[in-house]
Amino acid sequence: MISLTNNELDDIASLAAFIGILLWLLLRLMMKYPKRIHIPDYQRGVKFVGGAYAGVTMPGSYLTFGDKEQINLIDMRPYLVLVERLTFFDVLHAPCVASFGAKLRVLDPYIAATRSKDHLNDSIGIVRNAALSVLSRALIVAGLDMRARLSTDIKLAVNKELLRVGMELSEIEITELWTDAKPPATSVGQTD
Amino acid sequence: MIEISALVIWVFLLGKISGLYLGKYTSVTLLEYQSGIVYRNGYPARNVGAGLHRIWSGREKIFFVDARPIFVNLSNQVATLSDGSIFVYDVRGSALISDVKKTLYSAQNYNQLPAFIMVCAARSALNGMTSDEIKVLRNGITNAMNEAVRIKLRDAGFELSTFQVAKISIRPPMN
Repeated sequence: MISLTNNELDDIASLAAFIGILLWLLLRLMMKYPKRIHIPDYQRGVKFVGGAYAGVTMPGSYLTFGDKEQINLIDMRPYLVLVERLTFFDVLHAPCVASFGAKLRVLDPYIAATRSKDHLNDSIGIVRNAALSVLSRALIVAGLDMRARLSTDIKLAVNKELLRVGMELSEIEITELWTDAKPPATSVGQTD
Repeated sequence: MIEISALVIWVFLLGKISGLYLGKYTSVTLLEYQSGIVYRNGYPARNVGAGLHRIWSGREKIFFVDARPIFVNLSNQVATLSDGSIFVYDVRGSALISDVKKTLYSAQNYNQLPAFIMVCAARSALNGMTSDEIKVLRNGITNAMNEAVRIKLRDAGFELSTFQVAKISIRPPMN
């Protein structure tokens, strides 16, 4: 058992404090001022360490250290999109007009952050093109049933395309659907 | 003397280490037209209104919204009626935020939500009408879609103040 005098204990305490201060300063220099990031429950953080993907951070309060770590925030709330007055020809070449309102949301924060420079604006273009492709392959007739059926078809087609940028179409409402198609002429049956 | 300086240094170190977790005890002032939610460790803890609020910056953060009325004024909107006529109209309206949490979560671009709902509701209702029906309804067109707009806005944490669809012209079917 080593017995220490009071003076020696004081010396050890001050030495420990001095080493603590040195460690603190060293850590501070290494960390280059830690930065606090708050991620609310409607966002996710895509974390990169040394430039490489290091996981998706869940809601909470985080410290990032220096230039080595970086967290890109991705908003998971729906994004409202209006597509107005798409003019197209349906499968029978009848001129048609359609408008719809949609809600886009992020499905995979990592893909949304890394596969596209601006995942929201890029998605709007994808939605428009995929919807136009579905509409022009359909036989448009007026009516609420048609709107419901087209909504499902557009949603499926758009979501297939949006996977590329980590997004999905969560809701769609066709607000306008009009066709100039004339009623089909009465067919004349062939008689023997 | 050495004892005191060592104690001071230890208190300083403990303070710094606990500060890393708790952060500073700071204050945030919300103006009378702002409403917010205090988030603790990423999850909503409590709603706050106008005034001075003290939070631990390491664990808490206030996200706030501007609760002033949002005005919608969209001119020369076009809808195709069920008989093929082109209806040109204006959409005017305003909405207030009644539930901060619902509003904050409703959309990233929640400021545009009232306009989005009004435009969608107006176009959807008009697309089911004929030009004759609109002529008969005259100024009552808005009443036909008022309730739908009100319900949709309420679900998103807004309260409808005013809403009006004003007719500009009806053009014959395109051909």
